Amino acid sequence: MTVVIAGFGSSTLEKRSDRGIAAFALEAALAALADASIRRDEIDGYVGAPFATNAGSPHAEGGDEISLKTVAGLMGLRLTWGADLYRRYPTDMVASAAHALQAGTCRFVLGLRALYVAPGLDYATGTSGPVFGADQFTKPYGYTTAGARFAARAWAYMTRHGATRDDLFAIVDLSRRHAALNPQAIWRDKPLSLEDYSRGRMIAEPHGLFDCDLPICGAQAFLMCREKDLPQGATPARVTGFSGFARPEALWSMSGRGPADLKTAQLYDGFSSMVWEWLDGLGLTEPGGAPAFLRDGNGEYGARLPLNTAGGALGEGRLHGMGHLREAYLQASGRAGLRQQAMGPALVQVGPYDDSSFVLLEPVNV
Amino acid sequence: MTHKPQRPQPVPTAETRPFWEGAAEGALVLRRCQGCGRLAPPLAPRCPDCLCDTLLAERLSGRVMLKGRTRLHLQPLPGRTGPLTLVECAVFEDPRIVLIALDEQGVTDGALPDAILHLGFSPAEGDAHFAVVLPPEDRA
Ligand SMILES: [Zn+2]
Repeated sequence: MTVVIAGFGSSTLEKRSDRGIAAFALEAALAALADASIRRDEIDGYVGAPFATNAGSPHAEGGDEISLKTVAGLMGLRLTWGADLYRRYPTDMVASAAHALQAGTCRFVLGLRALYVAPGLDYATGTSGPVFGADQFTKPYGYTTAGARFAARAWAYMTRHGATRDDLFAIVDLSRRHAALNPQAIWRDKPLSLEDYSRGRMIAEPHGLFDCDLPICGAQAFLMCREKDLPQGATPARVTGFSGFARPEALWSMSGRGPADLKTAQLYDGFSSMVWEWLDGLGLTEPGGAPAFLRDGNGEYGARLPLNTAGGALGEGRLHGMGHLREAYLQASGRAGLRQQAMGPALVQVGPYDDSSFVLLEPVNV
Repeated sequence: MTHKPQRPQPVPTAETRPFWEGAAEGALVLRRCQGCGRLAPPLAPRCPDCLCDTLLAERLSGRVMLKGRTRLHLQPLPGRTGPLTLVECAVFEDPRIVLIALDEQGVTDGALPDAILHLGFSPAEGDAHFAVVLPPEDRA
């Protein structure tokens, strides 16, 4: 049974805001409903993944996180099914919504993810005092600070494969240039020269300031339904595959596609070096081949595999993969405007090297 | 009485207590599965391979392999200034187990992935002794 994304909505994206996280959440949700031509009262399913990942987050409901209970209450939703996926990603939200739709549990599922920068907090560094569980082996060393673990991995990758900061800049540069065609991107009017990039202060070597995505206040939301329930006026993209990172081959077996079929890729880039992980990991490049692949221009518009075509998190702002999913939807449904690339299988990957998931979206042939 | 800020303090459980007790004696201690012989990560309640729950604490060599490294320019820990060098250490006896340590003496400057290092433990900060990369002259 075929399932589609029927529409997508975004709030404005802001570096800081006097509005609370719920205002962003509802702005995105209502935009998604309008985009999919669905009324509020038709929504009978919900999926979220509310988690603020910053080391210093207070994890306050309605503060810097917002869950099903709050959204449903504030929107007056009457749900047959809903779930928040703890510490999961927008790609997992799509898979869960697809399961609920295929099971016949509900007809119209709202998916929502909101992020917020609460004032007065040291978001980057985090904690003192007692630490529990896995934290006892990481936080006393500052390892959860500023993406230190991704930086440590980037060091090893670059050292093994001879990649340099120029290769990191190539990713940031591509993100900024692609963000220029994304009207809501935080960095849309901010091209970055190599000199600017080099002047950015070091955060966690080899990552400097511009290798890190910018925390923002914002939310995005999608509407999913079975293809036969698609409302008049909505533009669908078919969900043809999804899988977890430990079995990426399941993405291909489910969709009947392979890496060579991809027309675009949205790869998670909370830190620039993360883009290399799944170019290599999915076999799009040889191990260690991702930097050269990008240096040779293969990720550009119109090239072999246009990458992060709305600017990714490095260009648009930190939406924890919702922006990646939205762009894949727009590309697969032919709605990406000036950014539109060849229509066909659109890959989304969200998450780190040791905990990602994938979704494949495709045009609906009419 | 003034409160001196200190590094985050681990709260051990039955699983992680042998590690921290070993650390207090300056030794790397992990638990070995009595069913199949593999080393268990510190948090594991059972052997991840055979799921046996008989895990006995064992003092290891302290030899590790450099897996990852970063110099952190933010200041997450009290009482330290300047960039902090964090290293990911793969335990020599079972590189699937990766421990984080500080390198406060520049031992890993210029080192390459898989370089052999020696892990030791710092004097107590608060109640805990934290993992550090030992300079060659301090190796037991
Ligand atoms: Zn065992």
